[in-house]
Amino acid sequence: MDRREILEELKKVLAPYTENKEMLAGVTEQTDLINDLKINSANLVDIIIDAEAKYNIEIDMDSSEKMVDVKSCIDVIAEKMNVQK
Amino acid sequence: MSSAGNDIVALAAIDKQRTHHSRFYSKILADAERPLFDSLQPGTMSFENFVWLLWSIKESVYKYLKRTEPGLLFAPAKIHIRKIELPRIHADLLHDISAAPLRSVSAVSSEETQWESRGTGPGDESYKGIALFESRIFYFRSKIHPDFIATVVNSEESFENIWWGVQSIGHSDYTHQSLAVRSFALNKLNAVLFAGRDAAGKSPLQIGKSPLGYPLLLKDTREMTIPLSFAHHANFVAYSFNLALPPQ
Repeated sequence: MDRREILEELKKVLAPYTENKEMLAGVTEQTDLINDLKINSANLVDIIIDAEAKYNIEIDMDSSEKMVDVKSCIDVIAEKMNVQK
Repeated sequence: MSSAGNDIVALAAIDKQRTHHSRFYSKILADAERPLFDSLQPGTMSFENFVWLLWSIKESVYKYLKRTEPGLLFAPAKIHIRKIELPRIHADLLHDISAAPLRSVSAVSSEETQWESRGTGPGDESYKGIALFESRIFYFRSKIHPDFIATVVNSEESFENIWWGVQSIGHSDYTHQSLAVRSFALNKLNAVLFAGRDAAGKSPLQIGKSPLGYPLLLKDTREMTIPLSFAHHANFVAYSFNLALPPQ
């Protein structure tokens, strides 16, 4: 799965937690989860759990704290998927 | 440097079932915190409330620090809760939580709730305790209500200068939350800062936003040195600010 494919799947993970569907549709790697997508911080753990299930990976504490924007989410997911291989 | 940090969790918006999964709560609790729940008197609080209480404390600590440490990332399990002291009247309230000091604001909605407090005093029935981040100690006050968990933190043990409040709102969209929490906090700040003065004029206070995202209190467009923190979740908004009033 390349970064573009990870991003497309990531949009599905984020969708239940943002009301800003327009911004989600046009999301870029620079999009911030809280400031741009207005995702409530109380849902950050949900997103990590959902991402773990979606990509069949485990996201440790040190990695999860980096997942503040789309780029860092893709970085972490890509790294963990490579570890799984 | 003084700062401000608070958080609110709307209990209707959390996934209670998911909260009980170790995969979920292990991303919030440090290993040493699970025994903290086991040490509480049975019936003190549900496990999901315990998890979200600790989340709200940790998020509040993070917000308190983020103001002066812009590069800080939020890692809940790295903030350790070391002590939870129950409210003084907790034993009497275990099965009568409706006695919590909330008041109805009937002018807005018969179902709307609002609660505000300053520091501690005879009416204070907060959960209290200590949180550690690296070598730093933080003190917290938390309110657990059937509908929400609210927390405020301070780097000093005294909460004499800490003002905080919680309000329910009619709509849970981000724009409404943002407007509501600003209005709620400004009402309190105007009352505190301009009490006893002629209120006929327009308030000079406004809320701005720092480049880092935290709220700023502005007077006549100039930043005031009153640290302010906002939180919102679903149908609840909450503020806290750190303000020492001069002696009367």
